[in-house]
Amino acid sequence: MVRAPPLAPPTVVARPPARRGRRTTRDGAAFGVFLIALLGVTFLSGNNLLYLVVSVLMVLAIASSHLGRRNLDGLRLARELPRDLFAGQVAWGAWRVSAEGGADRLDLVIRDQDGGHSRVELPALAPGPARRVGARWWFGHRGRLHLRTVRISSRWPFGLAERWVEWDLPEDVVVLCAPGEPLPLARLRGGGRGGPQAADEIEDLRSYRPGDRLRDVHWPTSARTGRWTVVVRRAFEEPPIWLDVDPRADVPWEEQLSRATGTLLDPSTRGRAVGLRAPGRTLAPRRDGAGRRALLEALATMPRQP
Amino acid sequence: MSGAGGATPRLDPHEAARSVVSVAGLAAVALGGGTSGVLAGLAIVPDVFASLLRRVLHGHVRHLVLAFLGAAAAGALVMGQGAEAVLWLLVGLQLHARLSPDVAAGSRLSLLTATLLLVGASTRTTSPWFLVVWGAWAALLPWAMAWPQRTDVGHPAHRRWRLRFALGVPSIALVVFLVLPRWPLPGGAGGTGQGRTDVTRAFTGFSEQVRLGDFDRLDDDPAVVAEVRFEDGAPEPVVLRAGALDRFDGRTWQRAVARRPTPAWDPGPGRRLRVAQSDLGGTVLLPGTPVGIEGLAVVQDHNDGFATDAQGPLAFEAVVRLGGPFGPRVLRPHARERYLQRPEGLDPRVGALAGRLVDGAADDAARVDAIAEHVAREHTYARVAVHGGEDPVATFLFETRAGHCEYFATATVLLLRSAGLPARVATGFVAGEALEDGFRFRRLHAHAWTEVHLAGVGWVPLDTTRGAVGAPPAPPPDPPAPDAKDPPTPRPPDAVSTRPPSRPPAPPVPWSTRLRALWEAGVLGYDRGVQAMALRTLGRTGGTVGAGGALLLVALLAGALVLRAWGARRARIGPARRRAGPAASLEPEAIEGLLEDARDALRAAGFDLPPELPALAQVGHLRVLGDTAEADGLEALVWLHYEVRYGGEPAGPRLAAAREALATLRAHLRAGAAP
Repeated sequence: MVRAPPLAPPTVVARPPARRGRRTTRDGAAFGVFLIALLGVTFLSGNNLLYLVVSVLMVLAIASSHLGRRNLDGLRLARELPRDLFAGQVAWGAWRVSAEGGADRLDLVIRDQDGGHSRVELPALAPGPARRVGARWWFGHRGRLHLRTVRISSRWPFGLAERWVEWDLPEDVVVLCAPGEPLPLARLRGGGRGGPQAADEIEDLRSYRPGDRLRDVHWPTSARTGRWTVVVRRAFEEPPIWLDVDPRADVPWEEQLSRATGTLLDPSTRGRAVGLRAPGRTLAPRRDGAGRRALLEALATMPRQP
Repeated sequence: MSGAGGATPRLDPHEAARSVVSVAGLAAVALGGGTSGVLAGLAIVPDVFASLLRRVLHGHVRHLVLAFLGAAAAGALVMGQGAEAVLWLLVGLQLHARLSPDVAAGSRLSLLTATLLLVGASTRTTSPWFLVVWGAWAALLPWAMAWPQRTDVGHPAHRRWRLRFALGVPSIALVVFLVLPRWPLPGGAGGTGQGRTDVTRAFTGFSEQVRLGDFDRLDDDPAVVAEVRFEDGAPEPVVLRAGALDRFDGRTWQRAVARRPTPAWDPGPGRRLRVAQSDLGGTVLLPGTPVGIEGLAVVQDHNDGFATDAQGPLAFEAVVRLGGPFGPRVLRPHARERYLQRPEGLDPRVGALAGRLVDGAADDAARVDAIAEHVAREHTYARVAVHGGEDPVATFLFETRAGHCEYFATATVLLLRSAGLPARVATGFVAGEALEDGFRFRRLHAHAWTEVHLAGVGWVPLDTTRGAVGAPPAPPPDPPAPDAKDPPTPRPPDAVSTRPPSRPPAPPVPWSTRLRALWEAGVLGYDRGVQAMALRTLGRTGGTVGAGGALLLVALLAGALVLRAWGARRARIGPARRRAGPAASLEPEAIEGLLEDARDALRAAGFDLPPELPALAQVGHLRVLGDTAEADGLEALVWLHYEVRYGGEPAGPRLAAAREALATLRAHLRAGAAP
């Protein structure tokens, strides 16, 4: 995940809720008006059968209030954002939520209030250890974002009122540019590969790591040792790739950023040193992951229209 | 709800709940009878099959139904049948809502209409079946309400709450019903027991005539009517007699108007007393049979009542003979005929019942006993006048079996007269508050009872108001009970039922009668007075239960806490864990655990699964090695795990599939598929 300094801890466990509230739903308002009217009629008429009817409605109102409040007691929450957030793309993450004691919490809706359009419905949450609930975020624009308030709401049991609790879960994130079509390497200044011989030259062997390409597996060694082994190719001879973004160019500014991001993420640039040249900002070519993320962040935090 | 692809249609539990709530509303109206009742009864059928009709009719006919019933309601309204019109319209709306293809919107309207139907029905019926209908409505209304809001999606936790609501809401509602204050109403002291809105009220007290069904509700009036002080100290409790009523027209008892001057007093042995009474329109209150009255000119009527022309409060002294029969020992023929009078059009069942009751009785006293026992044992005291129909006595005797003292006295007199025994209704005051040397009577002590004439004996008072017959001779008066309108009359020692029983005891009261009496007294007759009395009873009980009661209370509280802890543990463990043991859970971690079990099983069988590889890469590794079957088994578990963990899907339905996939994989490995 690309984060802007200073970064908040990756996951912030919710403190006890700072705010609580309730909102009467439209059905609840209608129910309340009906109940008050019926109470008046009942008291004025003294009809005991009406007292029976109105008693049930009163119990429902009281139960709705009591159970609805208790339903949100003792909740704890943590946000687990995915590693990379791209503008305009769904990002899958999770909420880690737990309930302390009591009965099952029912019909919970978890929302990130400050962006991300994250909304998760949780039909039931048993009390006990934390449960991870899959969630998705969607951000419309690149750039830095400060996520803070998270709300859990519920209309249980009868939908007469919506109760909610809110936590402050501060988290600074950088939404990366939507990856566009990668730029052809030949067009990049200093682009082109150093030659097939140089690129194919094996520098070392190492154990397989998640994410390694199958074509890098060194099958003879793997078969011989019984362990997956991949080759490390010599890339030091490859010239660096320079990503040039210029607001004065013919290509729209955002498209330049988007294509630069796509180029950075393209597998064909993997292992090669990539640098960035932008008005007033230059990042020297680096081939490691940290350097690549710095580039992504730099692209994401470029001014909207310089 | 029906399964897709021609699968067998299944009953949708939400639809069933909505249907029960809706049918409850219609059934409540049907209980009230009338054209709207018939219509509501007929509407139950399409309501029950609303789900099917929705699919078949696509919601088209519902507009026709509503238009037709709306037009009919308008017609009823024009004809002055406003209540019927409203119910017709509500029934039409109910069918319209139930047949609506928009199930969510239709459900909202249907629940509202069902409740309105119950409200409408509550003004038209007093049937005990209303409680059954109400119970069904109350039990399923929470569930039916939750569905349109999507707050019950059928999760096991939701299903547990359905049961809790179904049991808890009606139970708690009954408690709320009991504690809800009965509001003081203009024109009355508040609270009625009648399932009607056109309730009339009356205060306890004395009047020149008794009219049954003249009011619906009796409310206590604590005003003092009279004080009686004995010269030689208070004797046993006395009955303050105002007079008797002998003519009944089917609804009203009237006093004989003919009065004659008081015959010359014949002073003899008796108790000297002083009476101070408020103005009762000339009626003179006297305990027992007067031997002499001083300081007041009185006249006597044919029913042995005394009156005066003096205005305002009265104060006089008298000598009376307490207890024992009084009046002429033999009635003249015209008097006997007057005391055997029965109203025209009296329900023939009254005569038939009297005949059955006295069949086999040896003498008049035994006949009186039989009738008195029947009235007292088969009927329940209620402070409301459940006088449905044109014949309140028949209604009291054969239908409601509940009423206040005037109903008991009237029914007893008519049964006695039907059996050929002269009888009349006496009115007065009983169970006065004890003073040092006498009693104070308030209007709330007013009472009506029966006087029966036994040949050769005279007039004998007889009180059949439930609880009086068979009671021992009257104990000393209780402390003041301002809400006790009709406490049982202390029976004079020579009252009929003090005789040894002349025939076998009556059969036990059937449960239906008891339940009906409970309904009449506990629901219809529940009002402010009963509330206050219940509170006082609780207070007295609380003060007298002592250590045993306290222990019981503590035990109940402890039991409740244990049950709560047990329930919390069950909720914490979860149903799947209870079924499948500690290894299973509805949590996503359970599926992750099953995935780990699968990896372990594969490693144990000799497959190489590099632990550093992600789950799907491990699957790919197996495929690369040619272990397709094992890869398929592992991949199934991996996707189930991903769907739950990252897809936000509920774990419950996938847990079984994950277990099955693991079992298949293990079976495959056991079959010797290891490399």
